[in-house]
Amino acid sequence: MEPRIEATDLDLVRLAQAGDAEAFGELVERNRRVVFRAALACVRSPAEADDVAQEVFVAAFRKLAAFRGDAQFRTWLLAITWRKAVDRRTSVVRWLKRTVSPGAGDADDHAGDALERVASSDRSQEESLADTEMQRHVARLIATLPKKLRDALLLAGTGEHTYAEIGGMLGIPVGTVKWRVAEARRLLRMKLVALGYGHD
Amino acid sequence: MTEPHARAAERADRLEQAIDRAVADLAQVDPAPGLRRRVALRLAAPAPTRWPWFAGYGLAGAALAALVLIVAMPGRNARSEPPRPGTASSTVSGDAGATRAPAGPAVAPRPPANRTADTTRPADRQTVAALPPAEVRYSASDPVIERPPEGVARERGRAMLGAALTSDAALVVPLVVPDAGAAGSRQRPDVRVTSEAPEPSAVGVTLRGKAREEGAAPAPAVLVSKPNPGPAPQLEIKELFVPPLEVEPLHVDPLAPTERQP
Repeated sequence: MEPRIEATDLDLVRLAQAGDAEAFGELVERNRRVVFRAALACVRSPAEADDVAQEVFVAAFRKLAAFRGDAQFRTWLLAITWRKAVDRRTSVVRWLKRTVSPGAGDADDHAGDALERVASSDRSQEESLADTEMQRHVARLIATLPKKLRDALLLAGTGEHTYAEIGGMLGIPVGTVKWRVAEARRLLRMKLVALGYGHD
Repeated sequence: MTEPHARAAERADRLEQAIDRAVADLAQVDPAPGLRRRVALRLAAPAPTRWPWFAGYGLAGAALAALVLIVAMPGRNARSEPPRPGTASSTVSGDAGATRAPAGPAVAPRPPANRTADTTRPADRQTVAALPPAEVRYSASDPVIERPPEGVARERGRAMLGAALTSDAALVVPLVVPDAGAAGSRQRPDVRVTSEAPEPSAVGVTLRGKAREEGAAPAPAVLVSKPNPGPAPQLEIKELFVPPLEVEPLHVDPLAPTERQP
């Protein structure tokens, strides 16, 4: 079927509500990347994010009759996405706590502590680290960020969401989103400097 | 800008770029191709059945109720049921006493006859009730009665009934003629007992009866109930009907003495 380029999301939603499966397929096609990336920002695993994205579209299809068009379809979809993704992350973290490190506190913090220990032991090798290796360190450090900061940072880093959308997903004002992103970056810089990357 | 400041700015830029690249690597990932198809497959699949949260409690309650019912079942036999109009029929299997092979000459065919037998013998092993005498009438068209072979004429009929006797209950009792001799046969005539029970009860009944040849004294037929913890069944036997019984002609030895059972 030819993509309905001229149709807006709302047009497609109306068609889908009337039973047009192709219209809903087009909605999936249009929003698959933004939904996937939002889910990925939360669960940080492409496989999990893909599964979440499927769940999101299935849930959206089943709830489509309840969508009245008061908000943008994409905003409505992203709200579902974030809820599903957080549920998935919660269940995964709970599973990790039970199976991987029973008795540990926050699984993320536990991983962060381990990372800090590894990074500290590597300080003497800072000079020999290439940019790619520093990037790898940054990725690990991002995992150690508090969830609120990390979510905002990764959602902003997708390139798909405006600050307003992120605020809508997280349920916080745009100013708070901006602050969290800036704070996340500041913490990362600080940790990188502490690891020796900020020195000559 | 002095050189140290320039180097510091360069380091900061390097850090920022590293952060940007790391964030982009983590966040700017595209979904695997075929997401639309996978979503369509999920939508086409039947939705999993979701039980409400109280379903578990409901199941547990149902299981408990069933358990209580099962435990309470033995007491059911002791309860009397209200009279019900109409007729109920039930067929149960039974056995009968052994038929002895006739030793004497075959008895000539007899004309049709109706018999009435008082069943005055009480139950010899049952505990609750000795039923009132039953009138036993054989069918006039019964070939067995009309032309009873010697052995069958002395047949002792005994059957076990285990059925609920209700008002105007008609019980069809298979009466086994287990062995009519070497050339005899095993047949299962139906004995129909019509009874009225003013206070119908679920009872088990043993039918004891004896068929005799024409002219002999009526054989007693006794209906007794099985041990019953409830009230004694008031059964009035209206009719005991033995339908036609097809029995192969017995091979008899004319020289052998006739042996009759009392």
